[in-house]
Amino acid sequence: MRNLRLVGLLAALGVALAACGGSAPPGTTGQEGDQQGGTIKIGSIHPLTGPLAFDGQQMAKAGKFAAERINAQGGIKSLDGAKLQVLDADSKGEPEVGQSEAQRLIQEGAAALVGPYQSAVASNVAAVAERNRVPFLIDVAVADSILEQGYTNTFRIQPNASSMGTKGADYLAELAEASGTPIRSVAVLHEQTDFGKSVLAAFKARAEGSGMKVGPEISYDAVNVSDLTTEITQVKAEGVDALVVTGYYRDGVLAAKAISSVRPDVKVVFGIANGAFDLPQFTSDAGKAGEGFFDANYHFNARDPEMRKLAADFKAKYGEDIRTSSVLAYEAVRVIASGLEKAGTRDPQQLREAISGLSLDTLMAYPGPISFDKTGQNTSATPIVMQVQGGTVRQVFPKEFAEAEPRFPAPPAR
Amino acid sequence: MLTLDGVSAGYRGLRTLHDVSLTVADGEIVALVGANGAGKTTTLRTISGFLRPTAGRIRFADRDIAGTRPSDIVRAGLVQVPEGRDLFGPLTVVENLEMGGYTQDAATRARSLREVYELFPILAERAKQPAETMSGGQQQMLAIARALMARPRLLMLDEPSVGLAPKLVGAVLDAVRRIRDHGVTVLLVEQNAAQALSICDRAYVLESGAVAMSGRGTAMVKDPRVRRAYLGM
Amino acid sequence: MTRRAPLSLAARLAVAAAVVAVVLVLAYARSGSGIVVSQAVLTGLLLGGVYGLVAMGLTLIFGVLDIVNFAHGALMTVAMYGTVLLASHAGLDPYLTLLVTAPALFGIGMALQSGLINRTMGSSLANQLLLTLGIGLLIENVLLLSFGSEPRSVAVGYAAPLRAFGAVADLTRVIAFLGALGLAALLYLLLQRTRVGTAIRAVAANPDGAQLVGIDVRRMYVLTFALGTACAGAAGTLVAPFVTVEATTGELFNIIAFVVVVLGGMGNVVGALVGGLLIGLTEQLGGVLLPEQSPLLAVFVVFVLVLFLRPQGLFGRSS
Repeated sequence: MRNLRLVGLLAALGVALAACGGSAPPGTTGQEGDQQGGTIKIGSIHPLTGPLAFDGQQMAKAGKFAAERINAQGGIKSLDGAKLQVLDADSKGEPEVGQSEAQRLIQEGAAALVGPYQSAVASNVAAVAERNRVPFLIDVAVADSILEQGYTNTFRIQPNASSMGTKGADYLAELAEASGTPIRSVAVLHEQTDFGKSVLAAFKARAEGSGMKVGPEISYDAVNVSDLTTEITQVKAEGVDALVVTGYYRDGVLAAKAISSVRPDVKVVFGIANGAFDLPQFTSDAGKAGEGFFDANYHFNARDPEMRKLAADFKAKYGEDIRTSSVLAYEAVRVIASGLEKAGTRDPQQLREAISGLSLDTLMAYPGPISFDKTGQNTSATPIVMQVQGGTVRQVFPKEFAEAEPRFPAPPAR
Repeated sequence: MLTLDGVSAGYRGLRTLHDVSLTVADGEIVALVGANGAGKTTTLRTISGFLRPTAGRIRFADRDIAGTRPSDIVRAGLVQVPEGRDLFGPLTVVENLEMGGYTQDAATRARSLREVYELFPILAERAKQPAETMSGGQQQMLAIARALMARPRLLMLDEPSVGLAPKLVGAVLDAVRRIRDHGVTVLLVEQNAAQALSICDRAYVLESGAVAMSGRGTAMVKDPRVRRAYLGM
Repeated sequence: MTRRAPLSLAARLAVAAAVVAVVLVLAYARSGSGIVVSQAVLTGLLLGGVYGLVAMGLTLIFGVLDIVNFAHGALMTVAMYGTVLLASHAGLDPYLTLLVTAPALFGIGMALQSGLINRTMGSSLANQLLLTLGIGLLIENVLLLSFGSEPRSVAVGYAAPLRAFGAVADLTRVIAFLGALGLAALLYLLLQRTRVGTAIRAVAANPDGAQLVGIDVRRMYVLTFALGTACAGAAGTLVAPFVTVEATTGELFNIIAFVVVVLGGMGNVVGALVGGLLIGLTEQLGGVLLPEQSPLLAVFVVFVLVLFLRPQGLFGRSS
């Protein structure tokens, strides 16, 4: 019947368009291999469509950019100049899709995987990687539990949730002491899933240990929230010294706007692993409302000349300012390349061995080179502190990474 | 005024009407009687444009109307009061009537409203009431009044007496007679053959989707086959 | 047809007031602060107004065409992008863009209904669902391809916090609330006092009957769908100043809109507004009463409760 066919056609068109998304279809990107050495495939899984596409798409580009640069410098020399080929896949933000894409990429011959931006997706992909004994480099995914399964094939470059929370508490205490402004009570506003809860738990344990009173703990549903005014009013009602906020981008902007309306009497707004407060985007979306906000988060090292070159080259090619999550994706590919170089073979298990013994200088603002412990966690991974100053995000603490002096206390703009 | 010539029609491939031919002349009351399932409602729905005939022709006032859209058939002056009435339940009586006059201009609508209120004073009393709160008999009068608002040249009524108490049935048929006296031709479908035959000029008997008998009303009443099958005698 | 004797309007209002009083007292006890409670109430009402605004177009379409329009959220997003573009490139005040986005969305709705959806009227529910779902997906991905994944925002220069009863609300949200009231009034007048509006109600009540009085029902479907999408457009423009605009932003409102439509009574525009207010208040007060849980839990509980007591929705018709 004509109706049914029309309907089917439209639905199929919609789904097909969704599959294409905003980037090239999955498959070949980057150079085809030269005659000598051949190519080595790396599977790259990120949310290319859906609500997280903004970061996912740039991370995919950054991974390919790393491969291009490495190939331009001769590829993997210990493998006769073999070229890297990054195969893109769209996780659509869903764990099941990420899982099946990982399976597909391995079947297509991927020697290693990078990705995936979300902890739920990472757990599934890690299981696939373990089953197939293929190394999996996590660029962004924060949950502690991913590396607590006893997997030997999964590695993570970014700091995990507990180290974010713990270091965040340390930084808050140090900044308070250095400025002579005591912080004795801290309210926490956090998104309600594992991400927010685990960061909060680590923060609370450390903060209470150093004499701060933590409370109230106010959680919200990041997916569905559209207004945080009531939550900030609750903070104001308690009369605390500081407000810690952990969440994603959209809700970070809502928090800033609510803070600017309600005007709680806090001395500082301190993000920990906050997906909004250290993004240049945030300063335009939230405007003056975000002025003075801190964020203890992973960050690329803006003071490193090599990092500045990467940022300039990336901007020249893609017209975008590279963000930290993308730098992590870039580093993930670099780690794999170094592992291949060291192993001198494409065999995934030997590659795994090589990666686990690596010590690699990094573009991230870490105190030491990338090097993985028994569980696969990068031991040098730590957050640093940024602050919005005059509408720009600047690294302010610890001193070795500081671009500017921290302004503490920083009561929210009036 | 209305001619069906060899019309066949059906739902989903099942043929319900077989080669039906009938005529309704200007100013007549023609009755269409038959048992449940004989195809009377199907006939009206086909005439009104809800069903496309698979064969045959339908002419109304010198125009071929088979396959025309129902709303255009109303505009041509052929209006039906359906079985089940199809009133706009949550709308008030007067809103139902206003909608009845949808195809007319405002001045005509106002005039028609006065006329139907004269014909059915109860409707004027309950003008602001939702249609679905009225009794069965009142709803039937509203349905007829709504159809009259479209100023039909030919009015078709599908089982107007169903579910009504005998006294109300009489009132409805009275109204039908007065409508004809006002110059509207009537095609009356009824299961209640006795009533229909008593007021019509001519009648057709439908059996299993085909015309079984036809003739003047007075003759049909005396026909022994009709008396046995439809008048319970 | 047997029904429990319905409580009189006065009795029902009394019950509602009692429930509200109890909830407020509990919220006060839980939070220890009158200001928090009044903030929750204010935010809840303003948010609820927006929910109602979003749901109005949807309930109109459902009530008349019996279609669940899964593309509703995506259509809202189209208007949001329209507002963002016009405000940033033409320097228009975001609220003025309403003069462009509402008619544009009306046109898009007309095209969709007459070109595509009208052909599936009368076919199975699954068909229609699939079609509107497909359209929504298509629109979302076209937006992603056209505008990229970067989040956009549009600012209103004169936006400022307004204070009342110790609580605060941003001007942009108050304007959206007033917009909701205005749109509800407009739709109500249209449906109740104009010939076209009465015809739309007639089609909703009985499409066959409507044909029988000479109403071109297919044209009414096109008109009503277009009206519904124009409402989605107005909603998109009114919320753009306080949301982050991305291709998937409208999806967020889709789910809430469906809940509000069912709660308020399908097809009832006033019901959509009241349902929206109820959901908004429940969400905010629920967040205060049960701080450890997602406020969606409270919304779910209220939803189930209302439907249990009144399956046709607050203002719906029991068939």
